[in-house]
Amino acid sequence: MKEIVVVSGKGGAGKSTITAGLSYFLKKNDVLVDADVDAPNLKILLEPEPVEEKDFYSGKQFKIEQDFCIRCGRCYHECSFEAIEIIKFDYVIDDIACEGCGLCQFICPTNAISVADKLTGKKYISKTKYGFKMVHALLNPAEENSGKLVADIKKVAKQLAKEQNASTIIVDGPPGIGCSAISAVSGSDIVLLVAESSISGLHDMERLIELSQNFKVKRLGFINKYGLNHDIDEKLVNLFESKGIEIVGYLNYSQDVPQYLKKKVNLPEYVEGYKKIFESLYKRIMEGVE
Amino acid sequence: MKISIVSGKGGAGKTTFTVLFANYLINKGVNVLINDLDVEEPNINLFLNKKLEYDNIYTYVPKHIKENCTYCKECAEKCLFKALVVAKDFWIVLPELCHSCKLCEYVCKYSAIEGDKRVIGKIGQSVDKVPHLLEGRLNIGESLTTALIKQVMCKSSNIKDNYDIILMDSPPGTSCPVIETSKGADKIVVVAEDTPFGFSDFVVLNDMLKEIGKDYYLIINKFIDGAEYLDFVAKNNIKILGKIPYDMNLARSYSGGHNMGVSIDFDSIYNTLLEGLR
Ligand code: SF4
Ligand code: SF4
Ligand code: SF4
Ligand code: SF4
Repeated sequence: MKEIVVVSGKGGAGKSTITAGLSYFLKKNDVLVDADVDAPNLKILLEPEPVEEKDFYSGKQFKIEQDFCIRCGRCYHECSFEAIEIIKFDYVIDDIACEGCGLCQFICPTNAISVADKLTGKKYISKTKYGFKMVHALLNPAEENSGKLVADIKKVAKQLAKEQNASTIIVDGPPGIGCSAISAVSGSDIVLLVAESSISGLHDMERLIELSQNFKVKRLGFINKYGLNHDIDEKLVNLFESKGIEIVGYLNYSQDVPQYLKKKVNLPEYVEGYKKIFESLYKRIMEGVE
Repeated sequence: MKISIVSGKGGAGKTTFTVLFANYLINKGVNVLINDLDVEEPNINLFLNKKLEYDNIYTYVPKHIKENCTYCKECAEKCLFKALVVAKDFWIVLPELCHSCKLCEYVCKYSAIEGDKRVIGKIGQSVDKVPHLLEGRLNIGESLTTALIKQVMCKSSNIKDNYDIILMDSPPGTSCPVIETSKGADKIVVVAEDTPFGFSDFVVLNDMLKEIGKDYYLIINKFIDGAEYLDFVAKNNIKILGKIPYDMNLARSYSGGHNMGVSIDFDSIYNTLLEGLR
C-alpha cells in the first residue's frame, strides 16, 4: 500500500483540483483523504455520501465553576495567552483564546476549574460518486486544524485501506508549512509538490521544499498554471531540478479551468484532453512509487 | 482605522487587494501602514520590494537546571502538549511541541526549571516608510503562528498613531491566527474567489466571523457570475464592497509580482469603508 500526499504551500495553487483529478483513476478499494480540514473542498467535486460519522475530540476544554471561584485573580494574571476575561466580576475562560494548557487549573487555590475533552468536529468515511471511499472531517466554526486531526484521519484512512486491501491512498494535504502540513507529509511514500506559476507560488515552493527536506519521502514536482509567467516557469523548473526533484506533470494556464470549476466539473471526467494529462500524471506517480 | 483583509483560502486575492488598495491610498495622500500577518507565507513584500530590517522574535521555552532535578517526571506528566521527555538522568524539551505555557515551571517543586527563550521567527520593518511595512516571518516547521502574529500586532499597535489607515493582510484559514487579526479590526474585508471551492471556504469563514460576532464587507474576486454569492448575500444581509473581474492580464501581472494597473472602483470602496466611522 502506497500513500501519496499532495501539497502546495500556499492555498489556491490548485492542490484540490489536482487531487480530485488524480482520484479519478483510483480503484474502488483505494482511499482518498481530504486533510485540508480548514477548507475541505474535494466534496464539491466528488459528492461523498457519509457511511460512517464520528465525533472528533482534540485537546482539553477548561471551565471555571463560578460556585467554587473565590475571585483571587491568579488564573487571570498567570495565563500566558490572556485567555481569561473578567465579565461582570466573574472570571471566565475565552474558549477561542485558550490554548488548553491547564496552567490555570494547576494554580487555582480552590480547584474551581474543571476540564473535559474538547469536541472540535466530526470525521467521516464517505462513499464518493466514483465508488472509492473518502476520509474527511468537518471542524466546528473557529476550531483549529491541528496536526493531531490530520494524523487521526490519516490513521482512519490507513485502517480502511488495509481492510479493503487497497493499493493506494491519496491525501489532499493542508495548506501552509506548519504542523498540520508536517503531519500530513510524515509517514507517506510520495509527496507531490504542486507549484503555481506566480512569484508567490515560487516563493512558497522554496519554503515547502526546505520543509520537506527533513522527511524520508520521495518528492515529485508539478507545475500548475504553466505559461502564466514564463520567467517563473523557468525558475520553477530550475528549482525542482537543482533539488533533484523530478517534474512529473504540467497543467497549462487556461481560462477554461475556472469555468469548468464553476460548473463543478472534475477535469478528467468530462474533458478528454485533461483526462490524458491526469492519466499520465497518475502513471508517473505510480512509477515513482516502485 | 484598522482594516483586516481576510479570505477563507489562500490565493483568493487577499494580498493583491491589499497592495492595490495601499497604492490607491498613498496616491490620495493617506498615511498607510501595512501589516503582513500571513506569517507562514508573507508575500506582500514580493510586490513592494522594500528593504526590510529584521529583528528576531522569541518565545518562552523551559530550561533545565540539572543540579536541582530529582527526575520525578512530574513536569513531563503534566505538560498537555507532551513537549517534555524525562527519564532517569535525562530531561529534554521538544521545542516544536512546546506551546510556551510555563506550566512545567509551576509544576516543578525543586526549582529545576527556569525560563529561557528561543527564536520562532522574525519581524521585518521597511526602512522606507511610504507605505510602512511590518512583516512577520515564521520559521519553517514552527507551529506558534498565533504567538508571532500577536507580536507583530503589538508592534503595530505601538506605532499606530502615526498612521491614518492600517491594512492587515491576514493569514488564510478560519482558525486562531485569523481570529486574532479579526478581533482587533475596525473593519473586515473578506476577499473571496468566484469558484465553488472559493464559495465553500467563504461559507466556513462567514460562520467563523459570526461566531466571534464580527460584521464584514465582501469583495468577490475573479468574478464570473457570482451566482452562489449573490444568493447568499441577499439571504444573509451582507454588504458587497466590490467585484473584481476574472481577467487574464490581471493574473499575469500578479504572477510576476507587478503592481497591476486595473480598474477597480477604489473610490467607492474607500468611501464605503469610511462611512460607519465618521
Ligand atoms: S488552560 Fe491555559 S490557556 Fe486556557 S485559560 Fe487556562 S491557563 Fe489560559
Ligand atoms: S484561580 Fe481559581 S479561584 Fe482564583 S480567580 Fe481563577 S478560578 Fe477563581
Ligand atoms: S518536575 Fe522538576 S524535578 Fe521533577 S523531573 Fe521535572 S524538572 Fe526534574
Ligand atoms: S512550557 Fe508548557 S508546553 Fe512547554 S514544556 Fe512546559 S508545560 Fe510543556
